[in-house]
Amino acid sequence: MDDYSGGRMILSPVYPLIVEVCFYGIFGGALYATMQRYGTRVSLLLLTGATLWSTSIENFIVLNGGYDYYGYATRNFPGYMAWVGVVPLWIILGWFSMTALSYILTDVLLPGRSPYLRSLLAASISLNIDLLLDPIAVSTGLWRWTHPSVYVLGVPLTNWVGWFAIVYFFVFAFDTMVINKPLTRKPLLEIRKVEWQKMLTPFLKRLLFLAPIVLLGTLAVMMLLAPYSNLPGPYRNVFPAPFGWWS
Amino acid sequence: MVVLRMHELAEKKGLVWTSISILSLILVLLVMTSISGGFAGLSGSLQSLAYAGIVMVPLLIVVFLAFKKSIDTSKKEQRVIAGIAVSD
Repeated sequence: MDDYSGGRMILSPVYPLIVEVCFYGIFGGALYATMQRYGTRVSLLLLTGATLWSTSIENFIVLNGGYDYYGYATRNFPGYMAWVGVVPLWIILGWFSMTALSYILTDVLLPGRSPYLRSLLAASISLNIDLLLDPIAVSTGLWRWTHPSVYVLGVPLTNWVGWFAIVYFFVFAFDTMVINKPLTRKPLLEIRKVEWQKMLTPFLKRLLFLAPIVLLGTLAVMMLLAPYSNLPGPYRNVFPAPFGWWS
Repeated sequence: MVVLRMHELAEKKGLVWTSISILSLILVLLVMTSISGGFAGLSGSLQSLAYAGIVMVPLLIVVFLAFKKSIDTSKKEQRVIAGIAVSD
C-alpha cells in the first residue's frame, strides 16, 4: 500500500495494469464462449454493438463529470495502457464480457422465452457481478465517482440503476434484432451463413433509439437522489458537470 | 419460437467456456477484494470478503442451474431419439 488519498486506497501503479491484463484474459474467454455458442458472425455483431454502446455511454458520462478513471494517472502515464477516448479499453471489453456471459446463461436457462424476461435475467446476472466489482474498484481507486448521490459501499445508487438499465436495453435490442430475427431463423448449422452485415444496421438503429432512454432515465434517477446525497462535495470532477450542477 | 441455434456440442462448449470465464472473473474479484483493504462502510478485509462471498452465491447458483438444465435437456433429447429408434 503506497498511499491513501481522497478516501480511496491507492495501491502500487502495477495493480491497475495487472487488473487490465486479467480483464483482457476474461474478455478472451467470453469472446471464445460466444463464438462457440453463436458462431463468429453473430459474435462479431454482439461485439460491435456492445463496443459502440458502452463506448458512447461511458464516454458521455465521464465527459459530463459523473465519474473518471484517473485514480492512478501521473504526469507521464494515464494509469492504464489502452484507452478509448476517456475510458480504458478494459472497461469496454469488460462490459462486453459481463453482458455476453450473462446473456449465454440466460439463453440456456430461458430458451425461447419473452425478450423482456430474458433481458431481465441477463441484466440481473450482470448487476450481480457489479455488486462486487464496483465496491472493489472504488476502494482501490480503479475509478472515482464524482457526483452527488446516495452512496452504498462507496458506490452511488445511480450506478446500479444505470448499470441494470444499460444491460437490460442492450440485451433487449440484441435478443429482438439478432437472435430472434427472421433472418437467423434457420435450421441447425445454417447459422454460419447468416448475413451479419444485413443485421448490423437495424441492430445499431435500435441501440441508437434506446440510448437516450437509458441516459435520460439514469439522469432522472440521479436528479432524484442528489438532494439525499450522503457524500459531501467537493467532487473534484476532472470534466465539469453540465450547467455546473456539481464540482 | 424458433431461435438461433448452433450445433449441440458447440453450444455445450460455449457454456463450458462461459463457466470458466465467470469462475476466473470471480477468482480475480476475490483476490482484488483481499488486497483492497476493505470496502467503504465495512470494517476491514474480513467483512469485505464475507460480503464478496455472499454476493457471489446467486451467480454460482445460476451457473450451476445452467449446467443442470443443459444436462437435463441432453438426456431428454437422447430419450426421444432412443424412443424413435425403438419404434422403428
